[in-house]
Amino acid sequence: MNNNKIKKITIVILILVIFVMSTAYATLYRKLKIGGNAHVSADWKVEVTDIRETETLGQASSVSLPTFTASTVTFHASLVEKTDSITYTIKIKNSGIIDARLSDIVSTQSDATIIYEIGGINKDDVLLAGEEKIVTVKISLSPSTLEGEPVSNEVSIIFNFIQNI
Amino acid sequence: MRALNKKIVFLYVLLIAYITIKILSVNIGFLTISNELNVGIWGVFFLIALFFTKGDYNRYLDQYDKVQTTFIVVVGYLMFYFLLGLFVGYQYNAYSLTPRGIINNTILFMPIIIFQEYIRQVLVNYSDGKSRWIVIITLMFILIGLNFNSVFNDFQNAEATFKLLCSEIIPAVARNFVFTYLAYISSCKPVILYRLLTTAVSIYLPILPNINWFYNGLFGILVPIILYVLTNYSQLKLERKLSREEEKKNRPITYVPTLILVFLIVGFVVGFFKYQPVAVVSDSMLPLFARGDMIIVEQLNEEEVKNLKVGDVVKFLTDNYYVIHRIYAIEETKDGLVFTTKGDNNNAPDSDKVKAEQIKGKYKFHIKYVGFPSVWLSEALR
Repeated sequence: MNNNKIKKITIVILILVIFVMSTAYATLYRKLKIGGNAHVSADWKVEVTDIRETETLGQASSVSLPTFTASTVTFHASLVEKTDSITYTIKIKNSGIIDARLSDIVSTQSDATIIYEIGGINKDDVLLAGEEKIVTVKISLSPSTLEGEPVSNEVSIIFNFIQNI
Repeated sequence: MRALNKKIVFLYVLLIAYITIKILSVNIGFLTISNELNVGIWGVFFLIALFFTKGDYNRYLDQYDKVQTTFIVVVGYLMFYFLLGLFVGYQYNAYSLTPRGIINNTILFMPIIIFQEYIRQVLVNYSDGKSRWIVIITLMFILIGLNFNSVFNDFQNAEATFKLLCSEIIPAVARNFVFTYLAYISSCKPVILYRLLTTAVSIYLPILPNINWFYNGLFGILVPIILYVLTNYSQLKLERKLSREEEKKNRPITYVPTLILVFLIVGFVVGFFKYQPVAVVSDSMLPLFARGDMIIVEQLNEEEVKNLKVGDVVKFLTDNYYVIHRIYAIEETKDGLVFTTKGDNNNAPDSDKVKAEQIKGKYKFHIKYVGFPSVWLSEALR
């Protein structure tokens, strides 16, 4: 079989496989593990670039240093009284060439005793290409929590940005 | 021929001016070229190139074969890339998939590919195959493709620079050398096909694999290399530059064992398999192992973590870095198992307790000194 024929057959097989994959995707979509918004290319680059603890009130303390990935920030705070709080300052930069819009903010915190308050950005805010935003996250105890014992919990917050059209 | 070359010089001037404005616009705001203007600028460049070179001689050797090969390589890679998401998970595509968004992104990304590659082909055709011009054309298109906002932002620290080099710059170099090579031996068509297919996937698919900078960079380098090997071989055969024996020796299939070995080594290093190497950066576990040793860690799932005993040496994640210490005590709490760890060479147990989900692996054995290159790289990037 000559080279050309082999290539043509390979191309036909690949196209058929694409159709099969598309059908499989449509059928299995709900079973796939999907989360967050993808950093897709050098043209799309919206990411957290820095996070620092900037204010601590009362007996609040950070159990460990805050960490971040492109779209997620994670804090581990310990609080005792309802007046305790820790504020973290986060920098989010759009280094790509596409304007972005904050589609939602998702928290992975499971414990309702610790609450967080986000300042500096709201849902549907636009982050233009080249722009940087300073966002604050204030961690404190929920008003219904009983005081006395330290309450410690890890909170992760995901900032999901999409193209602004 | 001399009169035509002057026109090509004009094209070079335009491209150099464009690159200069792109670099300067990072710090000089009013020079920023909007995405819409960018499409217009490349449209104008394209028309200039078309006007100046219309009717000129073009050497197109066996384009169809190169187009076929490119289609096979790129589609094969994109399938593999998409299926990788079954292992690493998927994320929603950040590009807008509304009808307006799709139209907008099609206008923004697709015509530029055709304009740029046609201009590359024109420049390559008039380079007369001289290597210095081929290199200059390649370098120019590398610079044209870079996002300087992102580049200058990431050059602020060593780790980000390293990631940028591996995930964007080196792949851009590999890609552009292969694109220029394809333009030289064939035409812009295989290159346009390559870029259109890869761009279409990134802007039209609703979900994309959640792969990190490392895999992005790895594929970005390997795919152009594979394409080069296949097209180079068919080109040498076409030009009858290989003897029968050389033809046999240089068949692309002879590279398969090397490719498999590369994948196995990379897979082993990044932790794709059950056992993963880890370089030791401190002496906290002396005399068992020391800084510069490489330990082999068995990756553990949730069930296997529950079977750990006091005395086991484990790898766990804390504050965004890994630690390898011995389990000193295990307590059962309402939130699950909590481990107290201690380095053999430390005076006291570690102050922070370790939760089960932080534990990633268990020490199996170590090899002395082999980890030093990783340790030096890690220290250089800090």
